[in-house]
Amino acid sequence: MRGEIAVALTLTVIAALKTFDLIYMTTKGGPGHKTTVPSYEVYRQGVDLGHVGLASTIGVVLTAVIFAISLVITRIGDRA
Amino acid sequence: MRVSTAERSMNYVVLLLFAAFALAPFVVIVTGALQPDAEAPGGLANLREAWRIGHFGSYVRNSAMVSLFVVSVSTVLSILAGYALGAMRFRGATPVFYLMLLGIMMPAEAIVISLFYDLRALHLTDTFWAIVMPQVAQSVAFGTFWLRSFFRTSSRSLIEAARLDGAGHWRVLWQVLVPLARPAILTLVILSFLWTWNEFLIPLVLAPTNEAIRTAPLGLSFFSGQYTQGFALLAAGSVIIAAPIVVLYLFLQRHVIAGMLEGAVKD
Repeated sequence: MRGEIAVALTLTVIAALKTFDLIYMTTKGGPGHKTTVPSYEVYRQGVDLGHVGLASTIGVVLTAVIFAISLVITRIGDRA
Repeated sequence: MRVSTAERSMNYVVLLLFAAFALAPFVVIVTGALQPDAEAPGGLANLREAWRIGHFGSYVRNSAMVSLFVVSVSTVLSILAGYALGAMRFRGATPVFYLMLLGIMMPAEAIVISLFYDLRALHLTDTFWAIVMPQVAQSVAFGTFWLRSFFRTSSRSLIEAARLDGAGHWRVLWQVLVPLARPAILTLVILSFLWTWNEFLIPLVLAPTNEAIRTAPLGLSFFSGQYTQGFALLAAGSVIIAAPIVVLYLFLQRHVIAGMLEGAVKD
């Protein structure tokens, strides 16, 4: 089941990292920055605060992190 | 395999626990939607009230139009691209395939801000096209990947026989392979419908102020802030928004499962 678990793990981890609408609707990242996530930070910096460059940077870093995590999980999954 | 009674009942206990865990939020929302409170009359009248106050009629219509457009366009494009990458040999096929993979893995959050500025330069923000085009792109990336693997595993000799009988690529695709691929295509249709209907970030960022094209999930989020303070009407709105997906899934669920298995086993 190692391969299947790896696939499920990759998908759920990516989905968790990408969560946006839940945060947007419930806490808006608050109180303070306690419940913020990268994808919500992209929206806040880019749309609310107008820091477009910073928002794009966060987006690129988020993509890199997702790639890295999928790579690691795939590696572990393949090592049967 | 023989399973002892104790083990079997233990299995049921675990499964029931998980089922309850998964169903609890739905029960809370549905019972909440039918309860009376300060602004809600209670019962099914809540749904009517939420529908009237929240303009859900126009939101649901917008969502339906967006989903219909995205699903039909992206399915046709995915079939064509999937056939090209799965059954034809041409130079540059591998780089194109990896480009598609990148399209699946790239989160929308990473590109949505720059997309806003691109679309603004083209004067497309706050239009129907700003909502549908990025989603067509996302769905085509997944659909091509999905159908490529299907066309790849479908029988070579069948294609060859059709070719020998004088069928061109166009006929092989639409009259031989597409009928065979029906479960896979149906699964694709349902998944992309689901994703498009639920999409929140793209309409939020790319069409922020035009209420005439606001989609259902976005409408619900505005509804919760502007029109109602109580829980009952909000829950009723959520039920209205979720209903089309649930109904569609119930109708097509058998095909989805069949389609998923279709992709899982190769022979």
